[in-house]
Amino acid sequence: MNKEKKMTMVIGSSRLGAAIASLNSEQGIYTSIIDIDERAFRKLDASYSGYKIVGNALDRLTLEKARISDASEIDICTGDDNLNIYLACLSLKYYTAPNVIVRLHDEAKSILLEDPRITVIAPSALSFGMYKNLWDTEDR
Amino acid sequence: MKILICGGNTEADYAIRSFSDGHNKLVVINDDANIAKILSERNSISVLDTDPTKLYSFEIADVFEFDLVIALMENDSDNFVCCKLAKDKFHIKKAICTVSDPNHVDIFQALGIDSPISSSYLLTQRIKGESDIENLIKTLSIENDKIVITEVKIKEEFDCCNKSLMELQIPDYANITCIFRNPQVIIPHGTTRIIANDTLVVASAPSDQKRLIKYLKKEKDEK
Repeated sequence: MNKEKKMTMVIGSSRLGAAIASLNSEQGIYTSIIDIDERAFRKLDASYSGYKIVGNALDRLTLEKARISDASEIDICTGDDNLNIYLACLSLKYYTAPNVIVRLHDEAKSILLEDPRITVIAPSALSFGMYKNLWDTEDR
Repeated sequence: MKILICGGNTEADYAIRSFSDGHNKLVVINDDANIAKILSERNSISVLDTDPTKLYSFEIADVFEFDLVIALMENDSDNFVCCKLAKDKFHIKKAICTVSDPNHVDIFQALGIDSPISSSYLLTQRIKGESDIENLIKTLSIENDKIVITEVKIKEEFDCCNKSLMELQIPDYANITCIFRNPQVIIPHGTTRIIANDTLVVASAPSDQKRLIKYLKKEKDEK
């Protein structure tokens, strides 16, 4: 693999994970996605051309198979916040990806992920932000 | 000692009973309402029915700067988050948790969990120890396989039998920590003589265990 080329690895083919993987693939970025359930890959765009790995992300062999060591961006989007936190900590400790993006439903847990390499996406905070914008723009 | 016990069923029940000696302050959290009720009734203790991986549970439990957290949930990543919250945000001094995948023992330690315990790993070690064909040797690993304790039953024909430790010159990679001579436990010194039917309890590194056993089981006429 060309070392200069970016690579994105997505853990969890949730709606968010599949959308991220599809976008990266569409942009010509080398992409791999992991999910424990093969059926979850149905959420990927038909044009997705990256790797699909069926396996448990708790198992480091699965992560290695998806080439986590080469990833410049790791997107962690399983439906389990605790698993996402564990995988983020594991990524920081053992791998060199400069960007680790983690989806957390419970934003309060982001205090466990205070590191410059990590960005937390909290759907409830984003949704509330949108609601607040509506609130501010509408005449109430 | 101030101890927080999170999750678990029978393990939690046993841990509560083991630490309920009047000297310890116990706080128990369990997010299964039925188990929480059973634990509470059996041990006459109040159990918080809430998720032990949530920040607010720790705040409600008021466990800042406790001495020990024990996480006993089924899921390894739940135990990880519970211990990490305890250590990083509530400054609980020591974190112990169970892990179902033995490969997680080293990883959890590297990520700051003091003592991850894998029951399948311990079970395998115990089975290996118990299944020695001659039934002379039992082993126990501690500190996550960094140290191995080997029990060796001494037979009359062994070269080491009827010799003092001084004469025996135990290799420097091992140490006889005690001798069980029914019903006595002897802490050995140089003049202690090993006799038939003694059980030697020897500590060594796992990599030295094979040559240690070979050394102790060497027969009298063997070179």
